[in-house]
Amino acid sequence: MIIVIEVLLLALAIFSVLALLYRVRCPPDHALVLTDRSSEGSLRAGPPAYRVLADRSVFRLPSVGSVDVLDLSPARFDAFVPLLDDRGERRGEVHAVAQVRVSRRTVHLRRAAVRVMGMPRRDLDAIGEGSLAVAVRDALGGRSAEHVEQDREEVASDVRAALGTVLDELGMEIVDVQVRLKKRDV
Amino acid sequence: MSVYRDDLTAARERIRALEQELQSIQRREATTLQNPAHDLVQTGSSHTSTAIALVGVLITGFVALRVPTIAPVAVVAVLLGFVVLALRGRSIVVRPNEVAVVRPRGAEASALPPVWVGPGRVVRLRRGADVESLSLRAVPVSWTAHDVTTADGRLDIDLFAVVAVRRDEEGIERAVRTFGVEPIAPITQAALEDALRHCVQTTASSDLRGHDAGLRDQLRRRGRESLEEFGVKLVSIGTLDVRAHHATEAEA
Repeated sequence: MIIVIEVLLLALAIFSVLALLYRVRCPPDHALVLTDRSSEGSLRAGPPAYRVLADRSVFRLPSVGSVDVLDLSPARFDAFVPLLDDRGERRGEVHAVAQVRVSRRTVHLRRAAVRVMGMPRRDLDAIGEGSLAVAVRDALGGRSAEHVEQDREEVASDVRAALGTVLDELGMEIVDVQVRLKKRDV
Repeated sequence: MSVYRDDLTAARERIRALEQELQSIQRREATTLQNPAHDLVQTGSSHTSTAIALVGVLITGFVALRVPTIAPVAVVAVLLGFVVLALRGRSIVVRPNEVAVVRPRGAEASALPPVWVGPGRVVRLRRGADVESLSLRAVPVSWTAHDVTTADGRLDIDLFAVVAVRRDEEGIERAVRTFGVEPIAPITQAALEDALRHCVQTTASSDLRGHDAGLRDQLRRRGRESLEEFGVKLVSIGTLDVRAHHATEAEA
């Protein structure tokens, strides 16, 4: 009887040690990126061995080499683009606001683990603001101030499409895009 | 009236001085920007070793308590285990967003070539080896192309691009050959500016200011083609501002 209790206590102790050491909690609005161990390390060794899990805690098995986190919370970017007339004169300004985040779809999470994970905030801001500004500039192409005001929804839709193409490459998605026009009276 | 004119001239000079200061800061940043190599490659965690050691001690203690005759053997086995763990050396984890180069140090450095390790791999490291990495993350690049010749004049064009090393094996190999562990931004920026200059030389300045769609597509296509050779993917490129060329003091 004593031996059974001792074995049970030993098993409990071992399980507690393993649980303390290997349990990895996933913070809210984050995903875990688990890099698996592999015997082959060369550049031509096939696709990278890593897994992504959103909002789930896991046990870190010995087959896992490292655990990193990927932030899934939304980020806001602003862009101010001058609105020019046919002669190149400034007729106003378009203020665009975009809210974006890393998508929770597995294919996007895997992409973001390569393109975005660990990126300095300064770089992420530069990518967001620059891409939004380019998307707005493209969407404004050939439109006058009056047309922009009339077709604001259409402009926002064009911005969304252009920005979405860039963000998709990074594993990110658009939450919302707003476009406002500040006209200059002449 | 003259007072206002003087103020305006002073303000313009101040703006010009600030623009030059900003450009010098941007140039300095571009040359000093390095990959945070040591932040990327992670030395293998000691968790596994600790867990094995603790479990080993627990089992040995239990066995030794139950069967006192094997206690000395168990103690020796545990000590041997610790020695093996200590001598096993460290391993590095190459995350999915990087490729690492392992260079031997000391006498082996000249005999053995550096070894490149692909993304998402874990490899054992020889004692004293150096590790650096090339990042696969997306990189924003923004700069001003000065004195761009168009069909009817000269312009200064502010450009913005997002570039990243390709994720496929061939792309990674090309990037490794081109950049090593250096930042990819300066070379890609030069290639994109070259593409821009080629695209606009037959275009009227008014078309550039009027956001000509055909030119945009041409610039994107040409930029993609030229970066392809370096193993770099062009995620996005576009103009942020187009203005008449302002001659610098050196040009004047």
